[in-house]
This record gives sequence, structure tokens and C-alpha cells, in this order.
Amino acid sequence: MPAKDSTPATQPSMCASRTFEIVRRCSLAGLARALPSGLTLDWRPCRPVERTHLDSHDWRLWAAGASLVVEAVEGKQMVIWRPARGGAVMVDSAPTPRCAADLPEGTVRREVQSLLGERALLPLAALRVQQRPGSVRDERAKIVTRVWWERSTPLDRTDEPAGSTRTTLRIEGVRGYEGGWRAVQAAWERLPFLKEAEQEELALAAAARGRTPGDYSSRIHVPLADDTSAAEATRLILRHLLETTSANLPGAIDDVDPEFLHDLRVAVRRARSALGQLAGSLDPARFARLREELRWLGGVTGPCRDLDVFVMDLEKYGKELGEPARTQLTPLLDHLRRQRQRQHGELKAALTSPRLRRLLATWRRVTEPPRRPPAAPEAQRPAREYGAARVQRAYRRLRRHARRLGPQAPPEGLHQLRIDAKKLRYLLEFFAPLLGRPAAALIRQLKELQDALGIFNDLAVQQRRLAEALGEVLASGAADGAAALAAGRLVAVLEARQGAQRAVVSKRLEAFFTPEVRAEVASLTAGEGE
Amino acid sequence: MHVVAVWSIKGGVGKTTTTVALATLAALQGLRTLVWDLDPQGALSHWFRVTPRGRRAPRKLVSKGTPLAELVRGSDLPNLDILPADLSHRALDTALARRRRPAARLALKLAPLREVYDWVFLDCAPSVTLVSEAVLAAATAVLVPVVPSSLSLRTLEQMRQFAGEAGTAGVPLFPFLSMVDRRRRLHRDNAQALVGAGTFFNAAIPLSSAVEQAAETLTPLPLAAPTSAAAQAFAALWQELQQRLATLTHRPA
Ligand SMILES: Nc1ncnc2c1ncn2[C@@H]1O[C@H](COP(=O)(O)OP(=O)(O)O)[C@@H](O)[C@H]1O
Ligand SMILES: [Mg+2]
Repeated sequence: MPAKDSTPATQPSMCASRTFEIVRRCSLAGLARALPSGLTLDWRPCRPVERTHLDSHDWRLWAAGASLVVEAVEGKQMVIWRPARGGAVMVDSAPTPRCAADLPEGTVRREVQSLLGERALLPLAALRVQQRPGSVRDERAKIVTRVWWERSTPLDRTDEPAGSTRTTLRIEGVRGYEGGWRAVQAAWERLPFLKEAEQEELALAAAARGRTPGDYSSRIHVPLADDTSAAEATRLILRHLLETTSANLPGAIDDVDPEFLHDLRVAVRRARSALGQLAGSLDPARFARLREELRWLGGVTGPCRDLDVFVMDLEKYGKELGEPARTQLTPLLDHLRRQRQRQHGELKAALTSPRLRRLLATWRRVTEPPRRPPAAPEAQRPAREYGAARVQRAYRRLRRHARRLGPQAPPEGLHQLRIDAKKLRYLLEFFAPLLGRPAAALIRQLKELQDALGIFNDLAVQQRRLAEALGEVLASGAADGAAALAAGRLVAVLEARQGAQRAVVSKRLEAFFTPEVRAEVASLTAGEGE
Repeated sequence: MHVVAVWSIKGGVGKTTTTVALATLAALQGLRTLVWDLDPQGALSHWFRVTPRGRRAPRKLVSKGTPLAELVRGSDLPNLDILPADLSHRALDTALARRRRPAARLALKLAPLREVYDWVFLDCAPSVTLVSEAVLAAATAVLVPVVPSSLSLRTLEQMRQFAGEAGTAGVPLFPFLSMVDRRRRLHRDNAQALVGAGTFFNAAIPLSSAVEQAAETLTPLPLAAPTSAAAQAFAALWQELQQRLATLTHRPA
């Protein structure tokens, strides 16, 4: 990795780092000798370090160019946070943090939180390291570059050494001492026993645990080629969604964070949508069973997710309303959290049941490459053409429904539009690799509309659920009039917001059916795309 | 971001020693910490072996064009950065006087660092100048080391008056006892009376040879002699400071 030189003006300047691999035997004295006069190198004693790289299941920190590492050194545990802009921060953290909230209050927690959201921190890679820390100092004995000589071995999931040991030299500049940093790099780059490390430590160590940075993302990405047939495209899409579902299953069962269940549900919804909207490319008999079972899975995963969302929403509103509403809503929240725990018990039972195992086996079997081409009317159409046609149809349908509802659409009508929009979105995402730039533009515009519809729908659902939950806690005697008053005030706030949101929805709907957007949709089948 | 000034109009009362100790404790706790050396004697910069970058540093410190971040240098301790000073920084006051709204200038310069640092400490010169005025306007709180001799209370009163005149009476002045010599009767009596009266912090820093030795080796006291009575007094001071700031109505960012 080349040294980062540019820094935004508001940040303290440069704090770049580089890692060299030591490819031949060398003496540490050789490193010192190579330095220009005026710079000296001193070493502290060698010590064992247990290093764990933390990130979310979907690599949010890595994707942002940041890293969070836990190091156990001489009986002490430290968290080292390296934001993308450079500069390491070391935070004492005795128990390993499992989410951003476990970090001490301050800028580090806020930065990690903003990247992680609701996601938990998982030990995605670990290494056993023999480390010698050192420092390059100038004439004033001021450190200008930090140095770590390391022999490290990746550890597998059971913390047993796995994979090959490598020896590295990592160097890190000190803010405001760019001159010294450049001199050190220039001196050591030339040494024959040092080679710029080709692989990131994280990637190497994650491999020992069967992971690769970026190997999971909730975004759908099916690599479709121009000559893919419609049937094959649908098969690949369903296969991809099977992998996503499987990847989220353990986390949803163990309740690691709410996003596992969320992603699992989205994958199931996408799969159901694909089975319905792309039915013309499928052999109906082959997929009938899967369709039934996915419906079941969608059903059993719903209640727990709904409660997850409702609890998070209520927490947010509590903060927004401030005291005393926040405290008054507590009995309600406690009730919902208990309910949520019960629901998770049922969810867990379903997700560990033989029925689910059979479902996955079926899903796998029906998405194996078929021996004979499927007996379906559209199976042999080119996927690009097929996908474009499906998108156009879904767009027309959404538009027809919107027009029929008119500007005074009742909430149930908007609910239907939300579902139509979702189906269109899924189709666009399935075929995005084939449909090119117009599809990407449409997705952006559609997202605006979906967000507006989503907020409107959430506000309606929240009001209903709030009334239900209030009835339950009042009946159980766990809350009194204060909670009822707070809930009542909140409902009024939500109602007002919903009223305002309707105008936003109307505007977005209008924007999504302009002649320009319609032309964009039409262009999907017109030319060759790109 | 908390901005804490360590200020007194008297010299040699332990301002720099206190700033070094508190900043070190904050950094050890994993808080991103910046120390701004505002004394042209540069005693604090010397502690950390850090010198200002390039020429015309004083002007850049107050100018609109140069972000403070460009003048910051990393200390040898993790999480601790320094804005260093040297003798040329005696021009800071004149440079400040040339700016518009000079008293608001330091706060303005610190604003972009709000999400970069958790704590900023200002090590002040023993004076009453335009810089002091700007410090009072930038600080969340001002720590005032007071050596328990008979004249020190008058000094504290003068500082309060100055803060009032500068229109920054809102910023709390937190006096605490520094360099308390337990062997001296006067110190013992004064110390007891002042802390007892409730306006002073409970933590009092004893006069200690550990402090001098730490200064000799340029190692912050909490690292040089963590178990010494003086280091523990600084740790207590740090705890108290955090608690007091947490209860200030002024919401920290
Ligand atoms: N608690 C203490 N015990 C002993 N010596 C101290 C103590 N505090 C400060 N000193 C010494 O007193 C001198 C002045 O302290 P310093 O922190 O530089 O004061 P200021 O910044 O207020 O001028 C320094 O030599 C310092 O080592
Ligand atoms: Mg001083």
C-alpha cells in the first residue's frame, strides 16, 4: 500500500503506515545502519501479543478503510482504533467490546458507532504474534517513526495456529514529523531483505477462519453475463439468495445483532419475489415446494423482526421527546423487550427445526444446474431482454396503481404502492449487471420514492402498535396513566408527522413518473444498454 | 470536546506540571488529547521534546488560513498531540491584536477540532493579556493552581475580576491547591481552610521530589512514578475534573 500523503485540512496531518515483509534473514542492526545520520533506532524487548481484528459480519469498518484491533499484551488488553484518515488511538478495554456502545464515551465510540450502526463486533481474524516494538528518534530523541518487528501466525476459529507464519516490519509515521517519516521510508525501501507486503494482515488471518474481507454484503450482486439465459439468470439469483440466507442463519439463531435476522428476511423476501415475478422462466412444478416453504419462513421470522424495529423506534422517539416522556415510556419498552425475547425463542425453534433444514436442502437442490432446460415459456430468452421486460412491466404496474389511487390515496393504497415499488426495486437489482447505467439511475430515483413510502408506512404502523402495546401493559398492571399519557402524546406527534409525510410521498411519486423517467425505463429495451 | 485551560497570573505555581499530568492521564485512558502550549517559554513543549513547525508559527496560530491541525505534532505517547511553542510565540499577543474579534479567535481556531479530540488542555503563560482573554472565551473550564501562601487568594480574586471584565464570567474557574508543603504550618492551615470552604477542589497536589525527578527525566509523572503521592493526587484531580465537567449544564460536544 502506498503511503497516504493527502490529508483533509481539518485533520491533523499525516499518520501513514506501511508494512514490509522480511523475505530473507536479516539483522536488526542492518535496519539501524541504513538510517541517515541524525536518526537512531532503539528497540524494546520482544513480547508475545494476541491480536484480534474486530469487524461486523458485513465488514463495515474494513469497507470504510478503518480497523479495530484488540491486543492482549502482558496481561493487559488494549483496543486500537485506526480511522480511515490515519492516526491510531489506543483505548483500555478490559472486556473485548461486542458493540460500539461497549467502548468508552468519546470520539472513538462515536466514529465506530457511525460506521457500525446496529451491528455487533465479531472476531473475524486473529493472530499470535511475537513483537518487538521500536522507535526511530531524531537528534532531540523525539520519536519520528514507530516500528514493529513481528512474527505472526494466523489462528483459526478454535484459536489454533493455521496458515503460514510471516515476518514483517510495520512502520508508522508520527503526526507532524513527515520529514523523518520520509527519510525512514527512503532508507528502508532500498534494503534487499524488505519487500512491500502484498497481502493485508487482515486478509491473511481472516482466511484462516474461512472468511475474506468483503465476502458478505447484504447488497445483491449476481454476476450475470450477456449470454446468460433467463432460466439460468433466475437460477443464479435464487442460488445467491440461498447463500445469503445461510450466511445469516447462525447470527440470527444466536441473536448476535438484529441485522442478521433483517438480512435473512430480505433475502427470503427477494427470493419469494423472484419466484413470483420471474415465474415465466421457471419450471413451476420444480419450485412449488420452495415457494410454499419460503412463505412459511417469511411468516415465522416476522414477529421478532417487527419487535426489533419497534423497540429501536421507541428508543429513538424517547430520545427525541426527552424527559419526562422518555422515563414514562420505559414500562412500555420493558414490556416490548420481554415480548421480543419470547419471540426470539420461537424464532430460534423455527430456525433450528428439521423443517428449516429440509427447506434449505430443497432450495439447494432446485438451484443446482438442471440437466435439461426447464419447460417454461420464457426460459430461453436472453436474460438481459427478459429482465428489461420484467422491469418495464413492474414499472407500468406501479404507475397504473399510483394513477388509479390519485393524490388522495388512502393509507392502504400507499401500502400497496410500497409493495409494488419493492418488487420493481428487486427486479432492477437482480438484473443491474446486465442493464447498466440506466438501471443504476432508476434505482437511485426509486430509492427516494421508497424511502418516502417507507417512512409514511412506519409512522402508520408505529401508531397502531403503540396503541396495542399500551393496552397490553395497562392490562398487565405494569404501567400507569403516565405511560398512557406519554404514549398518547407520542401518537399525536406521529400522526402529525404522517400528515406531513404524505406531501413528501406525493412529490416523490410525481417525480418518479415524469416523461424523463419513463423514457429511461423505455430505454432499457431500446438499445444495447451498455 | 472539553477545553480546559490551566491558568494563573502567577508563575511557578505548577501550571505546566499539572497540564502535563492531566493530559497524560487523559491520553492513557484512551481519550484523544491535544495540549496547546500558550507560554512562549515553551516549558511544556520541552517536556515532550516538541518544537514548533516552520517559521511564522505564531501568526499561523491565529490566522484564518491555516487550520490548527497543520501545526499539531504527535508526542511520544499514544493519543497525545501537542501544539508547541517557543520564544517566537511571544508575538502571539500582537498577532492576535491584529485580528478582528481577537478574544473569540482561539475558540474559532479550535472549533474544527471538535470531533477530532476528546480533550484539549491549554497551558497558559502567567499573565493577563489578550491571549488570556481569548483563552477564557475558548475554555469550558479553567483550572487555577493555587499555592497555599497568604497572597494567593488575592491573586485568585484578581483573576475572577479579570474574567468578569472580559465578559467571560460564565466560564467556571476551578481553583485547586498546588505544591502544598505539609511541613509548613502556614500551608497546612491554609490548605485546610480553603478546601474546607468548598470552593476548592478536594484534590490537593503535594510538594514532592517525585515531581522534580519526573521533570528532570522529561517523563510525565503518571508514567515516571505512578504510585507516588503526587501522581495519585493528580489522578484524583483528573477524576474530580471529569465529574465537575460532566455536571456542568454547558453541554460538551
Ligand atoms: N507538586 C510539586 N512538587 C515539587 N515541585 C513542583 C511541583 N509542581 C511543580 N513543581 C516544580 O516547580 C517548578 C514550576 O512548576 P511549573 O509547573 O513549571 O509551574 P508554572 O507552569 O506555573 O510556571 C518546576 O520546576 C516544577 O518542577
Ligand atoms: Mg508553565
